[in-house]
Amino acid sequence: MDFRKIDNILPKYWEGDTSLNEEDILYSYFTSNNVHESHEVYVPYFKTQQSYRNKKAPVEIATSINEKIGGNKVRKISSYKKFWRIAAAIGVLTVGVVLYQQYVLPVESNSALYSDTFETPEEALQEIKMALGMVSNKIEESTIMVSNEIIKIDISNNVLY
Amino acid sequence: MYRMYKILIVLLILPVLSQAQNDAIVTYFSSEMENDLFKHAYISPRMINAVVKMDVEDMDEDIRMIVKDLKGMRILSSDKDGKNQYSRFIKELDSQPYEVIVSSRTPAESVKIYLKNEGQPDGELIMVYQTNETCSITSISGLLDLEKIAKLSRQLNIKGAEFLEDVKRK
Repeated sequence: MDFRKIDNILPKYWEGDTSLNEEDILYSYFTSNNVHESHEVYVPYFKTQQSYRNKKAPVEIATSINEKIGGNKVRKISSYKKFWRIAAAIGVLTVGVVLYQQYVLPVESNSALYSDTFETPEEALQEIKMALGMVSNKIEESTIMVSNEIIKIDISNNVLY
Repeated sequence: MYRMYKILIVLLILPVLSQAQNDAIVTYFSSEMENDLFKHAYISPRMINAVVKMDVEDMDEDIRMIVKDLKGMRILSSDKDGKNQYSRFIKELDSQPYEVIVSSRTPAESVKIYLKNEGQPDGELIMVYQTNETCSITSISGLLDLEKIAKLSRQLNIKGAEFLEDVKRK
């Protein structure tokens, strides 16, 4: 056994910096019959520790803990729940896209499309009156034209019969 | 369970409903708005709200009652190639679910007025008007009462020439 190696590992062990492999080296050394005189003082400690290392929790305890935390269970998601999760994701995505298209995109890319042409309500009112007046005019004109045509048809019918 | 189905259906038809918020000009003729051949004017719901709140003597109560229910107005006009533009506009609109309420053609001018969802908040009236080389398309959105609008005729007495010669459009 290379005692110098043990001397190197020991300080690391006390500092808690050893690897599992190095700890195994220490434990197998101190539980062997070939311990150097200068190391004998540590033998009781490592032997005690080794006895704890070998102990395993009773199967019943492990099982009961596992049952309590559900460690042995594999969580199964039903296909029904999966469907709703996917549907919810699609729904959220759709709403996101719609909101983006309706509120963000028009403002970003079509700001001119949705910006007021007229700077004052007075100017806007003039345009509104102009458009409404024009629509109203054309409706009235068409009504008069239709009325005139009906009168003409009536007159023709009277002449014929 | 039933509630979740309803939520899902609402979420899926939301894009369709929101598409309907755009007026006909934006939906079918947005490319023309970037065309130098056309002048364009838009009045937003916010501006309409400001118009309604205005305290002016020359705004008759009948007009105020009509304007307060409007959601927006958009006009696209061109003083070139009117006949072709008119044919193109009505060809597109004829294929859409609008009701034609006026269709008139004389040697001097042509006009076609379309209506959708009268008396409902998402209503829209579209007028396509053409004289010789000029052509315009007007979209008025909101809760529309055709009877009230028709009564404005004598009160406002707007002629086609005045309408098309409006220089404030950009």
